[in-house]
Amino acid sequence: MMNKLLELLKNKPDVDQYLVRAVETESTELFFIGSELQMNRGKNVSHIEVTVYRNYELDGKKYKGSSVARLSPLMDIEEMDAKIEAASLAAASVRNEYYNLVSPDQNQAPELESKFFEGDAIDHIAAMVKDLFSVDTQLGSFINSVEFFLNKSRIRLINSEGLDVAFDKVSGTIELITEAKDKQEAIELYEFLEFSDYDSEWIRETVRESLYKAHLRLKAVPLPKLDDIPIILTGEAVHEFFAYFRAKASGKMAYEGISTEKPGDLVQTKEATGDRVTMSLVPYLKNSAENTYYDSDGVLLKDVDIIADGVLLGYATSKRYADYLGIEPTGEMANIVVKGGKMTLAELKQTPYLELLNFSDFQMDAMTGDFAGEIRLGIYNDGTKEIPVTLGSISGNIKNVEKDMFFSKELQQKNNFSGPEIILLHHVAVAGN
Amino acid sequence: MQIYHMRGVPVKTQLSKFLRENKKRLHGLVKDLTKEFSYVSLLGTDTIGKVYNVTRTGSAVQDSAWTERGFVIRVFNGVNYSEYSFNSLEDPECIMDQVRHVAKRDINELLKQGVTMMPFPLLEENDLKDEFHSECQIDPFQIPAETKLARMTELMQYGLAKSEHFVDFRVNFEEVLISKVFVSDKKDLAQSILFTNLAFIGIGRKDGKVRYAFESLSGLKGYEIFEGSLPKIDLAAKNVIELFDAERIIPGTYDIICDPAVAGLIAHEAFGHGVEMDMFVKHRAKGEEFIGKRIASEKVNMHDGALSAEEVGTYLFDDEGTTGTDTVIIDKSILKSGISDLLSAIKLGTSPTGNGRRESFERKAYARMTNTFFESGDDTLEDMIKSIQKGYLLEGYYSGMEDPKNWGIQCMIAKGREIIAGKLTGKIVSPVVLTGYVPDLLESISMVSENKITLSGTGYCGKGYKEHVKVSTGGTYIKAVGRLG
Repeated sequence: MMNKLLELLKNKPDVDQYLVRAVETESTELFFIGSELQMNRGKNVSHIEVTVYRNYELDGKKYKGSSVARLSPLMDIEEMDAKIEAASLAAASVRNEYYNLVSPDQNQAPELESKFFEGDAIDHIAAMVKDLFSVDTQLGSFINSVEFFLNKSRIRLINSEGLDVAFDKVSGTIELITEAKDKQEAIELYEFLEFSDYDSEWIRETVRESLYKAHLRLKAVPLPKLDDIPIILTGEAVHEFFAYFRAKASGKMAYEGISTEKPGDLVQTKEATGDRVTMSLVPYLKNSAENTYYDSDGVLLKDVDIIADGVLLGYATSKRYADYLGIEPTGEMANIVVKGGKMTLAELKQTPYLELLNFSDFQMDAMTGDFAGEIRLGIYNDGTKEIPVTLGSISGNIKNVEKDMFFSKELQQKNNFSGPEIILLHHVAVAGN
Repeated sequence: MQIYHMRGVPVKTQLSKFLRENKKRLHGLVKDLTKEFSYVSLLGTDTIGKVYNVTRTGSAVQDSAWTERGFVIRVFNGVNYSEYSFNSLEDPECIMDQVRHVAKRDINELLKQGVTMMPFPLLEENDLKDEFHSECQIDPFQIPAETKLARMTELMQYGLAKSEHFVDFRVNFEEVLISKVFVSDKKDLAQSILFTNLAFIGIGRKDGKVRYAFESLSGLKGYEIFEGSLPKIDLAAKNVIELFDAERIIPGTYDIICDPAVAGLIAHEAFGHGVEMDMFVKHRAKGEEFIGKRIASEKVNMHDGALSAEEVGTYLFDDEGTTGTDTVIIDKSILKSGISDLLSAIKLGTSPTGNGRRESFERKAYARMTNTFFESGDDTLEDMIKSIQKGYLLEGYYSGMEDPKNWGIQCMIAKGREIIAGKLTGKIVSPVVLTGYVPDLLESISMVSENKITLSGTGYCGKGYKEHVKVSTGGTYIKAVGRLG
């Protein structure tokens, strides 16, 4: 099918350039209620996405139009031809500043490694099931339900400039629900885990931690009204918090005029007395489901530093926006590394504080810097004791917290984020009961 | 502004040529598998669609993320159900081998490894042959991309000109034609449904602060959806300008009035997810304990269903071949019913409500919402405002998150208009986080406006952090008490 498609594209006089992204995926999925299998699923699918480009001039200025068509192996050549024809026609009406496509890179990308590449998917997933259910229920908490998804993909990128790369990739997800109950009440915690390699101990530790948090949530009392309490973000919320700074380095947002900081500018207030942000993007992080050495345009990815001590070093951007900004493309990367701070966890946890262990959905608005989330589980340390708390919310804006925010020296690594284990914030509004 | 006069006889959508031409093969595949498995069904999907984007700096056209063509086969494996998703019909024998692999070999392997299986009853179906084809005024696929982009560019410029502080005014249009067939021993169903979405996002910067707001249109409509553009652009622009001067709210519990969008979000997040009956099977939803009991104030009536309204959640049959219904979830304060997929219904011994939906042919079916809303009441918005000593009129939202087990709610609200002594003061607070315990929030609903119900289907709904499906939500204005932060 690929050869026929490439032939078709080469013979289209109106199509000036093209990019083909083909993905073949085999998936094994298990769904458990308690420890009983409710359903199993298998999947074999292939998808082809073709971007066609039209280059043209208008009033002496060069433009590039593009349009993306999704093709299916269930299409015959005539139907594919019609889809490409329609995409080409649409591309002629799309008006974007001119840019170049990715040229082949002489350097070879390393292969992504994963234990899941060897052997049968059902055996791998069965091993994960064993790991997950091997953790003893503790303190009255238990696994309510769990879903496993294990995807093995073969990805190939081809463009009209001679790029032709292919690589194998594994991505998995586990949706884990833990529950705790007593005579009066039952509560649950939701965990969405992503991975790319088999790590038995990581699975066991994640389950243990979730069961412990479920136990704490059962004991939690409604969050009292608290004024001027230091806030500690943990886990996934730490990753989400840094989305604001990641966006400051977005070449796309700079080109669109949404962000105004230029390389060399501060992205954090100059009055910062706490820790300053240092951030890198990397193509590979241990067990990240986002690992790839090529972005979707085919840019060969390498580690890149984007922010150092609160100063923007350079934009991280795709080939298109790099051309617009007149810089070298870094490619698009989803693995983020943030440097830890100067103080340890123990040094940062000066009482009183409110440590937030689980949110309904902590969100950072990367455009406005507003952040907020409903608290599912927190620990309120009033200076004398630690009280598990629930219900209530926090909200704030980066401009109010960036001056004196502190990152722990200790680091966490979860999926596509490696960075401080906690962030200590001041001047955050807390809605209690 | 360009005006189009193309209305006339409604255009009826058609099932895709691909599914029409292959229906016989699909029936043959089901028939062959029925020799080996006591239940077999096949869902075939063929969805086409395009997304058009226009921004200040450029434009884009691409196939919609909902675009798909493929199949999922479900079989009874002797204890419960196994599924196989695929998108090739080249070798029917290979498909049958793969189904055997998943439903027999994989199951045997798992049993050998000590996995225990949860038994489910064998599905029994009644004979049903039916089809549905939605209608629109103007077939959007017949309008050239050039025309659409030109019109969207005019709308973008109209919005951008509203304020010198605007850095962008994005216009997004999506057209999607869904074709589905469901085939089993007893069922032969087909449907084609067209929906469109049109969204306007104003982005501005003033005094170093970036603020944005969006307004949208949706429905089982065609290109005629553009006719409602200008008032929406005006509103989105006004909202951005107002947000420049917004203050942060002082956290606390307030009397609140929710506009139809926020009311819909509450209906969806606070309650809709809590009555998805696959959660009852897992004992993950508190709603299970409240069936037949008072759960809200007497002012509250709530519906969900593919047939409850004509919006993006409308269909003849769901992704398990169950016909859609109009489910009364709350009737004058009493929780009457949950919404159910087929397998949860047979496990629980209830009737399926036609809410078994898949993100795509590649994903599992779950109990999902469709069109979810509070019914209108008999109060006026003016009386609601007059009745509040200190509170907020909440307008628009960014997102929400469910917590069905603990009945917590998180709604990220775009803004609140301050009300003091029965009058809007003109002060705006933003953003606002509405949180609380769902029964408390629903019980606090003291007024429901008489306005016509408005639904919005521009967004999508996830279950947890995955399984996205198109839904619509809405209602009228409601007055309640909420914790804001």
